[in-house]
Amino acid sequence: MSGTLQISLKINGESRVLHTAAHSSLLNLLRDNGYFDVKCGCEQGDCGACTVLLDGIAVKSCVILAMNCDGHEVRTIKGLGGHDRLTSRLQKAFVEHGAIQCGFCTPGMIIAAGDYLRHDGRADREQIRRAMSGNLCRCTGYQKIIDAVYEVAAELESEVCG
Amino acid sequence: MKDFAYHKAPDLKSVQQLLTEFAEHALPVAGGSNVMVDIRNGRLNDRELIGISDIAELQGLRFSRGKIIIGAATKISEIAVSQLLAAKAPALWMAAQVFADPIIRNSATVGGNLAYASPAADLAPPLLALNADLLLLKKGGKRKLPLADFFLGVNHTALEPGELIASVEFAANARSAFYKLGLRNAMAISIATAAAAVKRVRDGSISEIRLAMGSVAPRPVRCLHAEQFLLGKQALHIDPEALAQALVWDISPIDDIRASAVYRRAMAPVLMQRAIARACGGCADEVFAGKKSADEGRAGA
Amino acid sequence: MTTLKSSNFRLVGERVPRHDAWAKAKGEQLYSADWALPGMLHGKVLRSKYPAAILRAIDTSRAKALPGVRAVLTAADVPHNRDVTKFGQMRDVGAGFEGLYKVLAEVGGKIRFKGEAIALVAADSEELAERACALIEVDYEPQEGVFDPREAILDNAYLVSSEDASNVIMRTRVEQGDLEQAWEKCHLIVENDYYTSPHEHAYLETESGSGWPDENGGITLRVGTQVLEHYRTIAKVLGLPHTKLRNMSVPMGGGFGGKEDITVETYLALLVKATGKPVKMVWSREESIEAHSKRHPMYLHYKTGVDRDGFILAQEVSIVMDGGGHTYLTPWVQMYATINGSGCYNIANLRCESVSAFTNNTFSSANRGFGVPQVNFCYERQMDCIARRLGISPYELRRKNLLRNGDPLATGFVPLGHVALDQLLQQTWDKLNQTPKPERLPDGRKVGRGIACGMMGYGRLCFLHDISRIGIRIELDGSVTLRAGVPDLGGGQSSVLAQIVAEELGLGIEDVRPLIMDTHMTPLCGTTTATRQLYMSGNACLAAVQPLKERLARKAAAIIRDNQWPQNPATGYIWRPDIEHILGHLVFADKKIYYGPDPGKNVDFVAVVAHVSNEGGELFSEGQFNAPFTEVPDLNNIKGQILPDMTYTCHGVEVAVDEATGDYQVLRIVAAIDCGKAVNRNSVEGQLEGGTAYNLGWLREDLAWEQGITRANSFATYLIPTAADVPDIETIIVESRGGLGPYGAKGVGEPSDNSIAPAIVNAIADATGLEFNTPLIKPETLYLALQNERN
Repeated sequence: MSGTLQISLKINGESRVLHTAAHSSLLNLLRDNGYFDVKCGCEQGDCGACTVLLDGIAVKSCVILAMNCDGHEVRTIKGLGGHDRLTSRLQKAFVEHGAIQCGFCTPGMIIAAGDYLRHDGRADREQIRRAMSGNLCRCTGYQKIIDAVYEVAAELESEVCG
Repeated sequence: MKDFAYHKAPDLKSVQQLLTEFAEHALPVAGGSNVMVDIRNGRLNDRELIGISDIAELQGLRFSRGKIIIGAATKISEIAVSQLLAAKAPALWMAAQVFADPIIRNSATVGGNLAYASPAADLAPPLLALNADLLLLKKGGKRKLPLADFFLGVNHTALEPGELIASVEFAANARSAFYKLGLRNAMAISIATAAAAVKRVRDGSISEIRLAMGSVAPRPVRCLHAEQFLLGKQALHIDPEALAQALVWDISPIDDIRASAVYRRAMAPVLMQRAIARACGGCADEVFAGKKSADEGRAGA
Repeated sequence: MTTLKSSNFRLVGERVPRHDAWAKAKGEQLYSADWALPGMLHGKVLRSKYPAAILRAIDTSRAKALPGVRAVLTAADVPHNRDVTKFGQMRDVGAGFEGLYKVLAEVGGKIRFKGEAIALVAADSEELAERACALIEVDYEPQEGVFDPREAILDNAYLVSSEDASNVIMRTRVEQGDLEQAWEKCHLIVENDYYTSPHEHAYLETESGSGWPDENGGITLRVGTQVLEHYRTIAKVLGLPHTKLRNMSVPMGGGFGGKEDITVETYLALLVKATGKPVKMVWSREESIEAHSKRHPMYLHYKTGVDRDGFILAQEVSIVMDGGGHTYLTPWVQMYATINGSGCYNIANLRCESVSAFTNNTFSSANRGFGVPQVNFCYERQMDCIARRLGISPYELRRKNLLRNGDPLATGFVPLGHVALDQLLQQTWDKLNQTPKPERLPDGRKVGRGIACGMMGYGRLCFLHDISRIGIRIELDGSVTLRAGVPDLGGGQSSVLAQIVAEELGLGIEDVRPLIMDTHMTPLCGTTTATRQLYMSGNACLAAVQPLKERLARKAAAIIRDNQWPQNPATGYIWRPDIEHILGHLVFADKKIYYGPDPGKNVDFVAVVAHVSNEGGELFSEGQFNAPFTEVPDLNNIKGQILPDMTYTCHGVEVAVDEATGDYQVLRIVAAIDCGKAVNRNSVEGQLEGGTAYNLGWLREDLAWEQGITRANSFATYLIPTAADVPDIETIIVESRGGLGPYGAKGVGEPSDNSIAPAIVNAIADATGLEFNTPLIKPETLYLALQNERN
């Protein structure tokens, strides 16, 4: 639903001027404008399907006030894959490990995993489980998601060490 | 119909201006993780939303002359990764480790967690145990308020119209710890939490102690009776029955969807004893080393 | 069917990335809510705020007067508000029971559960639609209601429905041998009451979709569903011919049985018809939890008798099922529960009786396992109780009694497929006990280990006369379009079909494009339920691809024969084998067709396609697979083949119990399944891991029902496991090749989740000595039980 307030922000590298209601969430702003790669699962910060990057940090867009993002930069999964090397590697690992079933949590999962790895996340299964604990998945039992993130984490570690 | 207006406050001066102008209708929004849920569910309406997430003065944590000062808009994730806090205020650091989930911690703020005044606010017990003060700003003035005087009830605080939490400050205490019991290992509103900050004399007896709990009363509470009881006691040899007796006077738990009052009452001394043990060393030492997160020693003591 | 060695496969058995994995990883996959059309309206459902009430009157005038509101509909506006279903192949043909369905609650009738739909609104915006709902005045006369099925079946119980004279939905029974005589021979009889809690599917995608008017009075929907065939019912409700109600459905963000019943489809179609405009409807999380089905809560009584050595001589089971406010799939679920009640054991004397009843709780229907997790929980708890009483190991007791090849099921039918239970039990037990069990962890927590077996069918009830059809078209560039009305809820239901076609034609999975889930543009594959798609549609794929393969092979053989045998330059003489010989040795691989004994002789797949096309040969094929057909059984004594075959599982678990708080953590899980043949290894493991986590969640997920009100109606209160709550799952995949699916595969989707819950509770019993009779064990439950024990 479009609102009366104007907001300028960068979405996936593109400067956009959009309209929104004063109380709209970032999630609604994005989906109302066709960014359907951002999924909506609960609208109160409990599932993580709507995770995006706000100024390079992973946030749950359903509990971010859209107007607070005026002048800021948002990236969704579509604005990361192919552009960001880490995201591309995570996507490949998710695909190859069978970490994707219904796929509804996947964009958020991959962004959350990227956030962990960008902040020096280790190849440690327990730590990865904790890092991914804000993003719910009902299909996979998480095993293959953890496998995929672990693989990329281990590769990154060996690249740093080697 | 949802009816809101939005005003962005780029700096402290403008936020004070806006807060004064809109008084009790004003609602500052930094992270938004509580506010957005309440707006969606219709618990909040007809407010002037004041965007404060861009105010640089409200962000960051500093350590000066034994005091730790944390800006109100500082993200929980900054606390969770702070080696300084892990060493100097482990109770707060541990609480940040188990606060909601890693992604929420990236946007939720210290000030937001306190101002919302949930009985289950994870940061409240450690900050109460650390005897924190709030710095409150208002147009043309500021005041310091002990956190212990801040929480008045469920979602009810001593914040006056036009006032904003600017920062929270407290003295470092390496012998402090936090313990959370929830229904799952992440994204769990607590069944109950306990925080302890301890000073011991050479023979191991407690010379000074501050205790606090969450989710056991309409507001996060200091446990003054338990503190009184523990003075002079051996920290690692506390009689659980006696501790439970003392805590009874500090807490007033209720039945809710997460647990019964009976269970909470039973858990209070258990969690408190674990927090104290962590604070005094025990399994807490490895937690302080920053190698393990706080809830890995969950069944310690 | 000839048996192939696994080395013959190129794709089958591999960890093949699914055809849609990249689209999902990149965020390109569009789900039901990810759609917008110009001028689209937003639909909302007004739902009952009482679980039990008489609907006295509805006044929609204020809502209709609100500017921007385009339609407000009540039952009076629905052309055919009522529908009746029966057992049988078609909804209108069958026997055994009758179930009444209403689209919207009718004035003068009873509201049966909180969340029942009363009115529909379409408006220019979602917020306007919500406001309009709030302006509809509903005159309720609240009733006492009944919330426990054991009370609901009593004579003087409150009647949930205004149309029925009793709350009983159905009674059924299965019986073997002579129970009374058998009890007398028993050395030990263990008798327990159980309660299994309701369970929420909690798929990440809530029910949603859109619809729009099409030419000539047609309506097109775009709604993800597990059952495309619902279009017939939707058409019937609207009074349209089947041809005019199309659902160009889309993959779901999870289903687990919760999208097996109609969700938004009928509401959308009614609103589209009323407004003549596109309409979108998205349920909130709370609406989803309150308005869709739950796993049946059940009250069960188990009485099991064994001889001195632990051989089971007799078992008697009685089940009272909570059907909630409406029938939906209760009778079918009840059949599964009843025939599986006595478990995966060889028991000569048994009786399992069940009754299902209406209550004013949220209605119950399909939920991963379809009535089996409940009985599986109980019979596996019985086994551990018996083992402890006899002082023998739970492994040993099970080993003695497990079903083996040739043993009959409770209905007297001997399973057609391989029975791998003892192998699964052995491997799981060995892996779980590779290291000795510590008494306690260093932090003081008590450690326990538990094990449980499970069994569940794949494929629908045989009396439903199940079929699946697949269409394949080979394109002129050598790629393949696979047309399949296969609802994909995330289990890889469509990708595995592409994999089978690619395997058969020697192509890569990327060469096969599945176009799926359209009621009228794809052949209907039947429902994505009952763990049936690989079995049914996989076989249909083979049926569809075989004629094409043969046609291409014949052409390839001719080309190879004509062009690739050396000519003697001197004599011009060519020796060539005959076509049939070559045909018998052709291999489809790497986009070529090879002559096996001399792979140098080959022809490009695309070249063969060109030749066939040039000659006017058909490059299109449809294939159908029919499951075994039986008649509706006698409900008083179910006999014979009820399901095509069974899949078997075993779970082993290690838990740590914090005795001071009652908190417990599952530390290790070993999960074993005989999948017959792993067509896609990642998918088989994924189902097993996912199913395991799904029912691990059953132990703590609490809807907190209170007199028909769901207190835990959001993800903040209904807590499904996070990544930090599930340990690594050690999977054991047995491939017996003994299934009825393609290449000997069995279905794994639902069976995967059955035996984990009892394994965990058995492990808790091992650690604490507490014998819980319910899967729902919260830390508080465990703590209070420990306190009770101490006092």
